[in-house]
Amino acid sequence: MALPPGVTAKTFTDATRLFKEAVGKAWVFTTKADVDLYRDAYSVLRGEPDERVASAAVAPASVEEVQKVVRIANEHRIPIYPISTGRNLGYGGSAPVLSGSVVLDLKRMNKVLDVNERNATCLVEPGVSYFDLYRHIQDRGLKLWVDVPDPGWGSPIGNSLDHGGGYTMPHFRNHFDSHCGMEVVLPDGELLRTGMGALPGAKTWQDYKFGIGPVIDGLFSQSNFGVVTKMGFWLMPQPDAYLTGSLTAPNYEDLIPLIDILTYLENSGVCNGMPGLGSPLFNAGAIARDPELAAIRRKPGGGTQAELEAYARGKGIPFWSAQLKFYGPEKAIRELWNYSKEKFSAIKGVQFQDGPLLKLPLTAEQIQSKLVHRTEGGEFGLPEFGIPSLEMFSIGARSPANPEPRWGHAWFSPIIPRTGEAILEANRVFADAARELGMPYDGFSMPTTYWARSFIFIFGFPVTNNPKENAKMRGYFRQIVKIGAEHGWGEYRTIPAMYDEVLNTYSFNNHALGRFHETLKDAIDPNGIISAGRYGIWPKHLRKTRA
Amino acid sequence: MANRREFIQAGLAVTTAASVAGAAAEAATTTAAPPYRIHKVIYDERFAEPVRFAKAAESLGLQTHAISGDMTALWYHELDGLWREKAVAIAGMTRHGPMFCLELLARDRGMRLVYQAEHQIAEAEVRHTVSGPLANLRRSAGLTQSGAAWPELMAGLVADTPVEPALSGAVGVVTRTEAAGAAEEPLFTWVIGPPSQA
Repeated sequence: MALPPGVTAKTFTDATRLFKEAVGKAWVFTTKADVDLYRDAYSVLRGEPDERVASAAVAPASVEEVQKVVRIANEHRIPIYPISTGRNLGYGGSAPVLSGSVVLDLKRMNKVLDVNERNATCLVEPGVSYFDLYRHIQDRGLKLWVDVPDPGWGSPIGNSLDHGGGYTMPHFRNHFDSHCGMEVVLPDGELLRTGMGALPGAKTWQDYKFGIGPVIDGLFSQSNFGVVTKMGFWLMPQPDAYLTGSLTAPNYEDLIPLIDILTYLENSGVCNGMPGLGSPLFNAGAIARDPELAAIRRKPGGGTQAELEAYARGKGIPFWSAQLKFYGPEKAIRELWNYSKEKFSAIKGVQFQDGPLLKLPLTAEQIQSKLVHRTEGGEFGLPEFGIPSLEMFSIGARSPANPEPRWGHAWFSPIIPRTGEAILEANRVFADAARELGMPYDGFSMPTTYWARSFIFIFGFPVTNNPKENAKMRGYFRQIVKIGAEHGWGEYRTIPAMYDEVLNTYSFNNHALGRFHETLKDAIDPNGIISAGRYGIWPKHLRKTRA
Repeated sequence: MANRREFIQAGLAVTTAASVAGAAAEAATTTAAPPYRIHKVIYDERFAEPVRFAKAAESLGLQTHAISGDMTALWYHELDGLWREKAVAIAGMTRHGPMFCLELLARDRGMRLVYQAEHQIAEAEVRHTVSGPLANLRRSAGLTQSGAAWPELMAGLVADTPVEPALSGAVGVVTRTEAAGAAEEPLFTWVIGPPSQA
């Protein structure tokens, strides 16, 4: 078993005994069989000496127990690594960043503490999963939706603290943005509440985000300054209806006005669902089916505009497609779609297709039907209705670039500007980079539209059970991160194996941001016990080894 | 404790050609440790082998549940509530995704993947990679002789999986079959249940 670095076996044994006194013997896990369960199922270092593994795990049931564990860890200099449901697959899972850390498993803290239907808010503990919160709301017949990620088995606290996103309205899709108030156990065991929670007896902890003075909530996201033990969220009132409509645009350059119009409609609140962007011409299936198109795409730059346009004209295939989504009263959303069509009509040759309108809530039969299951050719996916699902694990993700999807993937996910030009440029740059590096790359990628005001350009690097292949993949990943940063595209989230590299790209003014993080770390957690290395924030005693 | 070579050789000594029903019944032999009480056998109805596996499981008195790849509804509406009350074992033949999800969800309730067999279906053979209790590994050797009846053999095997610790490592076994086309992705037979306390 890996001991925490710098910790003797005796100290570790003493601390483990004290952990058992704090939480109960049954909730401290030290056997290999139990600790192995905290390995990252999608680790990019699987089976290698550098694979990040825990030394033990402790599962407290209450805030008081968390405080005890943190104080014991501090006294004995034991690094701990809090997880909520441990399902952050693709971004690190349940394994610590620093091997030998003790995982602080918060799954037992699984109470939905409050749901306020009148103002659409909730307060939850870290072990509450999206499924748990959804069930809580459904069982009580509340007319509220939760914006869920896909898959939906993670926790609102864990997902939002890692800046995860969802699929409904923009102000709920950004899960950290939609939080309101948190409670945190600091590295010295003190209990802190943010926002209005700092006022004893506050009646607006989940209603008003700011409280007084600096808004410090962000310090606890993608960081290691404390253990979040409660978090409030704003929920979505159940809408009356849901409507989709789609459009295609025929020409290469149409992407630019298409995105500009879409952005205007979203920023104005006209289009209030999560839009989908696609390319009938560039999708991987089209390229795989037609050797002529595949040959064009294999050229440097992916083929010239003239070549692609000639091909598209010849085959009658539009370059771009978009699906718009609207939540609200039926009359209103029909008019909002009509207005959107008027705006998009500025693109010559645009074609529209009216999609279905669904009255809400969905019936039990609709939820079971193929209509809302994309794997079965459905129009929709359950997350668009605030319903968590694990359906994506049944989708065959197999491709020439990813022949064995079961070993997982690591997401490369830089933020790019919300313009058609940026989509085209990012595709050109990354496709060229993939070709030069000899990386497998499945053609054109349309961005994900989680966020208002920007796009995420996301693609997955496959993980295998072959260490040599994984090492090669990590090399590609590092190169792509650098190339992205050189073009002004920074990652929004990344895997632990790349935390340092990604933080290093945020290097403005001699890495002022990283230095500021370290100043805070030294002040708040001088013994560096919480999540050492998370997002590249290392405690002082480990910093020199990371240089 | 038998090593890998010993139990493969023991399997090669099995010469009886199994009938469809016979393969299942033959595999369901008693072992020293009591077997898991399997609450339900889950199978992916999109593929022929799991359908046969399920039929054989039913002939052994087990309840079955069909999925089309997505196990969400089964877990949300049945297993989640059941597992909050008590740790009950389930078994299945599915692709990797449903097994992976159910394994992780079951872990939250103190259960583990206690038996797993991966079936890579190639043109004229099926390559099985098996891990779990020794008794199951021994009986998996019967796969070399099972021919096309291997799904039925797996049904008998999961019906009688003993509550025993798993051996570390995995073993490979090959079944020769008639040419029927390779499968895109492997299938998995699995048992999830409370771990042995031995």
